Amino acid sequence: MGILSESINEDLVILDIDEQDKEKVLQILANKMQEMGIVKETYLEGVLNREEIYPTGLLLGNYNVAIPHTESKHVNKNAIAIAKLNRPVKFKYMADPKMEIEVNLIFMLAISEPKNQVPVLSLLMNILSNQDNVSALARARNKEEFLQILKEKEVECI
Amino acid sequence: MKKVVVACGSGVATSQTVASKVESMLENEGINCHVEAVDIKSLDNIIDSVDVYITIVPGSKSYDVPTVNGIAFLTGMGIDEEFEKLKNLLK
Repeated sequence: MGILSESINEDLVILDIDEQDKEKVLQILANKMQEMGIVKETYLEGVLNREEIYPTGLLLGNYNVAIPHTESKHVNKNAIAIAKLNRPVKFKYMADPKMEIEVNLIFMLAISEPKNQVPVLSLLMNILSNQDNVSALARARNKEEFLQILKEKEVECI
Repeated sequence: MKKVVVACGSGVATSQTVASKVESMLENEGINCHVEAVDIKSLDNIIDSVDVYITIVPGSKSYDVPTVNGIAFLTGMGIDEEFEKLKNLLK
């Protein structure tokens, strides 16, 4: 198994979220990470504040993603929480914060040691920079399928 | 050695990822250069010592340093064009 799959905890993969509000979706993910001791209680606020000034929505094609994160001081250990949304949620666009884009997948990053996390993030971005991969993930029918796709794509991208 | 700086909001994820991508792409082309990731607040302190600034934070202050679009290296969209630009700036 590759470094990305290894760093993804199944309990942090939440598919089929119906929520339409960005803050509520991020709250679901942050709460989960907080319950597991991965992030501190200040994490969500840190993410939301940062998202206002330096948004993380990425325009990729038919399906778009966001990679919300914040400073290491709000984080206990490295992790990635994933949400697949039933209906797209609006995020501000990283390249132009005045613009809103419709996001289908959220990869919420908890980063405690930036240097150690770079290979994992690079791999994640390599996978996401191929629109076919993003479509496959966005169309996954269940958690097993989602994780299986991620695993396969990871091998192709190494 | 020429110096490239990548800056993002917190310097923890986006800039580090872009810096690592740029570094390996340059390495593959045999271009030896120093690539550093910083948070946007530290940028003012080092901008005078760099040859190219790779920006991820749009609409931020502009500097007298040639600038390349960093989001291309993150998403792969428009990456060839931005990489060409970067290589020319490092010649």
